[in-house]
Amino acid sequence: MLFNSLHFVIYFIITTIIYFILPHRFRWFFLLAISCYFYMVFVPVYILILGFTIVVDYFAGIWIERNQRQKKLLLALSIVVNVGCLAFFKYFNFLNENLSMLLGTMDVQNPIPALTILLPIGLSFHTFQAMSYTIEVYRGNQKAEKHFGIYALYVMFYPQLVAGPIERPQNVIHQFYQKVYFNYERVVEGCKLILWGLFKKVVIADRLAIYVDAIYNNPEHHSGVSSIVATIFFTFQIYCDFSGYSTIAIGTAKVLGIELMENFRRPYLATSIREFWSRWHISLSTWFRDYLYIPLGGSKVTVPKHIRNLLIVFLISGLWHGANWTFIIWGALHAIYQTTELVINKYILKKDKEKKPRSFLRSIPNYILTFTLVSFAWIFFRANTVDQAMTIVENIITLKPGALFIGFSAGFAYSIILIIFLMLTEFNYEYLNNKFSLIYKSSPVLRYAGYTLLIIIILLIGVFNGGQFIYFQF
Amino acid sequence: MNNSSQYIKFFRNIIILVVILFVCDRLIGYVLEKQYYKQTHGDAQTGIYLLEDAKEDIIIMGSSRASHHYNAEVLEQETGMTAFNGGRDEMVISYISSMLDVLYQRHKPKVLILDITPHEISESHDIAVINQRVSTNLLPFLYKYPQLGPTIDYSDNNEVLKSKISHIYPYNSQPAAILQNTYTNLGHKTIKGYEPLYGNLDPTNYKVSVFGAGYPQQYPVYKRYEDKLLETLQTAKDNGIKVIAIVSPFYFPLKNVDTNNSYKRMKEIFTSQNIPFYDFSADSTYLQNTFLFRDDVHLNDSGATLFSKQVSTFVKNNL
Repeated sequence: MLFNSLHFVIYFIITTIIYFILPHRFRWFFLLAISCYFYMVFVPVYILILGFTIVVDYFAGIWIERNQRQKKLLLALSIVVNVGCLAFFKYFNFLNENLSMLLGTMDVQNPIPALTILLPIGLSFHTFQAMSYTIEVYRGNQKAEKHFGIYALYVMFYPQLVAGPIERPQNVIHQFYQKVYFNYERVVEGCKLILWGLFKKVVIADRLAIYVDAIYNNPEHHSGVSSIVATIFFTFQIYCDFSGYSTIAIGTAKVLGIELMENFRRPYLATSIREFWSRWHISLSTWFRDYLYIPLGGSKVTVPKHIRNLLIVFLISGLWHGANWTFIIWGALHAIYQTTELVINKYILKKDKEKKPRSFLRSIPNYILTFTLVSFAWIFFRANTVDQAMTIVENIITLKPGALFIGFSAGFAYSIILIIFLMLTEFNYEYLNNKFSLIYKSSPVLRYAGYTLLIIIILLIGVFNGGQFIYFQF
Repeated sequence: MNNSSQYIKFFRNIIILVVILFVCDRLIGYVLEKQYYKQTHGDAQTGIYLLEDAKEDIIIMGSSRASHHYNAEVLEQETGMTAFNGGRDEMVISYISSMLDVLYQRHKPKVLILDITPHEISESHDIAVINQRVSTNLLPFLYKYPQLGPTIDYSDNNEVLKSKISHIYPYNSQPAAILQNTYTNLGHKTIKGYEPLYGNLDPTNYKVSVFGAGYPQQYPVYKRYEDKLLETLQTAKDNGIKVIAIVSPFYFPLKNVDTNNSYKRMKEIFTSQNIPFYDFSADSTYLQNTFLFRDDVHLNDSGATLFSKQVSTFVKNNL
């Protein structure tokens, strides 16, 4: 079920009303049931895969806690099952295709046939969230959950089921035991987040997608200027698409009395790549930090090892996003950026810890540089193939002559205005404590004006057939 | 504040918001609807004119190929009858059929020129997108012409229901276009629905047909569109309107067209119903003539003028 569908609006209203009517002891079951329904709306049979890993991880958690001597082996087994499932569905064909290419260079035919299977929606998110549970139990930071239903709900909770935030058991599981009362302020705050998330997805992301798709699907027919504009548009599209989803997820959970972690913190106001990653997809970047980067030694090792750690994390992060060389290059680019930043800071600027420049104006070159580097990397994230990405890069670098593609002129104008509006909103939040946000004003007249304005704009210029969220494919 | 008073406060405020939204939605929707019909040019204007004002003897219907290929003024000069080109970008037989149903309630033309493509009734891979486009283009007319509802709803998105909930919704994405096409000189302009294209095709940009060697591909016949075509022909017959079906020129020759399911089925239908059918897709006058085309699927103004003269002859011969 898509958050940006009429189906979800009806589902959310009905289930939320029932949720608050039900006595507390039945709520976990109700949440689990509606979460299963939410998932089964996509492809019903894939719930069996989730069910299988839930059973494995539930027992793995209990056995890890009980068998301290064998806990390493049990954790490894649980990780093998989870990663195995992900690898089979997500990477089998990718690996097989690359094997075919490799064997092809030696004139040998690959005997392994390609699989005609679809990737279960949100499997990468589900796998990482499930793994965080067994790892935390292994580390002793989380008690093994004895209530199977509550554990299942931890990984199936519908607001964050298909595209995160990738939660940690310590943050969420205990909340399912707490009795939730209807709290006016909390519910209103949740609704505001849902509205803002919907605005970002339907009005900004899907509007920008129209232009981006036109250029990226036929880059050879477009000029350098059009390629630059499309890349900048995609930079904002991917942000609004994904952060829009996260905002709706956090808002939905908040209405139900569950607090989820923040996933985005105005990433395009970052002044360095390292800062960008502390603001972008926080639940994933902290997952990699806690479960891969730090166990590898993190930054508390020699510089070559530190660089190795960064490379490993970003290459795996790229691969996590998709079984395509484009994602691996995207990850590699970020690894190169981070490594370069590290070397410059350590050996040229001679500073161990990055300090954020004081004034906004003095930071402008850093904002622009970070934004440019991030946008450049997004080219590989968006392109369907490496060749297509290289065509875009070539268009941009050579400033391929030709007119700027406008397409639907009103749509183009909306896109520009919406990007400016988004950045002003981000600036207002970051530097002005949300002073100019109508929906957070103390005056009810202004607040209602804000809600009405947002909804009217969604109706007026929202794109209602924009389809699913980009991150669903991961 | 206890729990029940929190519920009361929340629902009271929700009701206030819903009332405000309802009033704003109806007011803005009303203004948009009025303004929508005032457009003097642009993409939607052809449809508006067709439904509201068209009284011409000859009506041309089809996609962008219709709107760029049939010069209504040439047809008028050559046939001595009045003509209007109702072709619209990316529109297909379901749009044509629905628009004509509304038109016939007010006006019955003498001749209907149906510009079709060989794959007009194919169930292509992007059929859902095509249905969605038709729905989007018909939606602004829904309140005034509710009989368009079933076609609008065919895209499976509860469009009619959404339009009942919100009166702004049918005019989604339209405000800037409405302003542009009502108060400025910008936007597409047509001459009696005909939108001329100027300039010649640059052969360096069109070396191979974008449709590939196998065009039109072997899609099955889409039953819904087949029914819409039959319906269009039947309604025209019932209203005493002469239908002429035409495949207008293409720059590249179409391969395998005779074995295409859609093309074969349409030919069968036209033959069985005695509908004059002219296929220009292999006409040597046009094939790979860069001076007559703007791109590989659209004639330029010179090509359209020449073609319209030829079509005028068929119209005269068939009356």
